[in-house]
Amino acid sequence: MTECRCKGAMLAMVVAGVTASACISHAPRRTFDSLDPGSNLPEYCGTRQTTGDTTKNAEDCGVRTPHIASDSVCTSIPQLTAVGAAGDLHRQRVSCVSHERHEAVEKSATSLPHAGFDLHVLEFDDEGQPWNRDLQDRAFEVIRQQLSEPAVVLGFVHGWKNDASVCNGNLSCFRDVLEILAKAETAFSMLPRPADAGVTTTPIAPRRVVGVYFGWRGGTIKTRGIKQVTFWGRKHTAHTIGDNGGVTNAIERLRAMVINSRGSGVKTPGQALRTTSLVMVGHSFGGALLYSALATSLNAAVGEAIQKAPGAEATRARAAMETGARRSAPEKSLALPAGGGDTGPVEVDSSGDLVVLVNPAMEASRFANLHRASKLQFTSTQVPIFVTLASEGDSAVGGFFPIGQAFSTIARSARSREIWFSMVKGFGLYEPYHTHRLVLKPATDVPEREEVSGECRCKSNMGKFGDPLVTRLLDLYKTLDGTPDEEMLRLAGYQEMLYSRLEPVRDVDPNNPFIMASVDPAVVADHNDIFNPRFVDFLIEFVVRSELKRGLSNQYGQRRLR
Amino acid sequence: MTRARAVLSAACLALMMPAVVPVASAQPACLTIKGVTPANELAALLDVANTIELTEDGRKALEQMPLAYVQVEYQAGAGGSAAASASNQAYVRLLEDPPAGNSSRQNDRAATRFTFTREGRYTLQLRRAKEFGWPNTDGKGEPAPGCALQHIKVKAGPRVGDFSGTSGQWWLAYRPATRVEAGGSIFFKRVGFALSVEANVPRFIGDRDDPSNFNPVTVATEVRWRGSRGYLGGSIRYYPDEEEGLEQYRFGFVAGEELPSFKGLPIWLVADLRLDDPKVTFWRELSFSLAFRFDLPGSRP
Repeated sequence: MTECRCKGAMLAMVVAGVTASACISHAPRRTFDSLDPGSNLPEYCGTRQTTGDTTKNAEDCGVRTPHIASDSVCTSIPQLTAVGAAGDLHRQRVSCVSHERHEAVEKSATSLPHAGFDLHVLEFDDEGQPWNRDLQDRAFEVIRQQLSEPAVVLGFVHGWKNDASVCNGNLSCFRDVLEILAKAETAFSMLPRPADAGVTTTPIAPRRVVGVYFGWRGGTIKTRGIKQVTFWGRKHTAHTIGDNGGVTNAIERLRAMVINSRGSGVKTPGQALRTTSLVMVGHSFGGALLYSALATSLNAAVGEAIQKAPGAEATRARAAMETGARRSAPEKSLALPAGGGDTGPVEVDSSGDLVVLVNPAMEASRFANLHRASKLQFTSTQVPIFVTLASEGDSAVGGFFPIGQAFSTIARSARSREIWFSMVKGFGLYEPYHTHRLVLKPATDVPEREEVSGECRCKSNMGKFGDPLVTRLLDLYKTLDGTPDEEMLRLAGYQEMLYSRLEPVRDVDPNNPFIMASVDPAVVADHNDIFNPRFVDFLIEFVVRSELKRGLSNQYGQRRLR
Repeated sequence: MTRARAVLSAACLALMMPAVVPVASAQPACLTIKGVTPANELAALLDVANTIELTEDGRKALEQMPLAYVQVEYQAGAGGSAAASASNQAYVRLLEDPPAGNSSRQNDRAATRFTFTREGRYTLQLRRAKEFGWPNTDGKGEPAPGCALQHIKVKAGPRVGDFSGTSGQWWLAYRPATRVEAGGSIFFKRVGFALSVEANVPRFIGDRDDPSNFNPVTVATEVRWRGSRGYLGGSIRYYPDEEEGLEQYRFGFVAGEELPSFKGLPIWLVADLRLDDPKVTFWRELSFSLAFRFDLPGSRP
């Protein structure tokens, strides 16, 4: 019994420690508010004043980008990763602001050129509210002005044990990815094009690359061993942040700006790659956060699409959904009705562009309704909306997560064994929901993994792989600039990329906008191996094809491609 | 008369055969579905992950070409009237040998997994290619010469509820920090009976003559009720050595939660709340422990 009491005391101490730590260290990392004492503005940042005026400065950073001087800083990846006191000073300077303007890079013997990029950090507290609402409003105003030109907006929501610190591992890798995108856009813009196509002449201006990093308190304790117990608290917090509206609000503002900036319809397929697009990526608990923020609108869009499907077809589609929802074990009604073409087709609104979850750390049961939708037939103009990619080598979600779930769902019942498994298994690891598998191509030139260390450096050295990747992607861009093969645009069909291939593992509609793919560990080795050239290549190629399809969809309206 | 009727029936059947067995018998079947009886007309169950494999004839048909694709095409419903509609869809998957030394990709051993989600008829076609060419039109290669176009009839399987019939399990379990357990159980629908033996390892390997080294091994029987998440039950544990102030037979409450399986073998999280001595202040005599249980091959949940 004494032993038992000791254990109890130790447990109480751990719980107290976790609770205290969770309460004490709640402060932003980048979006400080000098008027808010809780914002913990570092001394070296001084008191900043904001005028609210945006300025355009052609010389500053070499990037013609709207910005607010007091909210932004001119920087570059070499400056951020510099060793020594100069590097430390620069990192301090960057850590005081939420908008990084990355300098343009000229072509050199060692690097491809790019036109610079912007990185905005938006931070949210544990209740899902912006840490600094004024700053966030100003950031959106700057982004709105930046989107006056065609741009690629890439949003990233980090996961467990990460945050928005200037040298956070996820943020450092995100910068590398943005730089690769900037290089790709510049390379694409410089491709020779016939001037008589009636569309454009050589060269065209590269699209601006705008990164938006959604920061939240992904970790509360850094002590080894103990930080694992933050699992339940951080998972709950991620869903709370997603549910409470702040992130949804921010994403919808981005969407609205992107849609406004697109203007009128696209005229040619190639031009689709020159209009503004938005891609949101969430990793781990960041995937959970992102899904919580968007699940309602996704499900609403599916419901609306089914109701809008024409006449008798809609009735059948609704019946397929309803009978699917009633089942708990394999039965006849689960199947798409024989002669599946009669079921739809439906078209789900895709104005929000693409949402990608990578190794999301949440339960699979949250996907149940969208899984029903993935059984429908879609129009050939349907654009991909929601992609989940989960590594088969992800032991955190595959092994640890179900144990955590077994405790956190203690007061909930499951009406069947199948549903129970969907409650404890990871979102992307529940086999009955898999529609695809992403597998490494047996190519011989797949880049080997690397690991580097250093301040503000991406651990997987993603930046190093950027130039070869962009060079190889040019072939794809050349293909896409003309009229692409229709097979390539059935994005839920079989797709081959440079290093990987996406294969359907069930007969979902090839235009299905909801892809749930398990990922070969050779592509994504584990939970955190998301910034590697094999996977980044897949993401870029998939996004490019989605953009192209959106352009074609706009062009042809509801006309079938096939 | 009866004989004449039989002959007529046989003749009719012979005439009808081509309609239900559309595979040209002269050409070999290059693909097969694992676990499904190899026949000219394969039948597969709805919503079940199948493994499509190359046959020996299929390997020969590749003729040194390194890439083999299978094209799965839906052929509309049982009536087949809409066979030519736009709903026909082709799904392509690559069949390949696994790369050396990478055990994580064993599923790719000249095979691929595919789930049919619609009732009706599908066709399988083996294609071959020299190199990756997708997404060009010929990127998925050419049909492998000499291979029959294989037809599959997909139908829904019988609906079976959870925990019907009789099932048995046997397992090893680890109860931190020092105890291990072996046991077995049998369930009749949702009600089960279990017997387990638990060893306290330091005591088990320690000096058996030491009077403080008692009860290295205990035995428990349990009655369990199976639910969707796992089971709940009651146990009686027998302690062979007498301990001062404690009962030799101790009652407990057990709960097990089934976790996702590892390599096909179920894993369980098991909780045990035991009453060491029934007193008025019984809460002081409760001991709680958790265990991880690993079911062994042959167990059926």
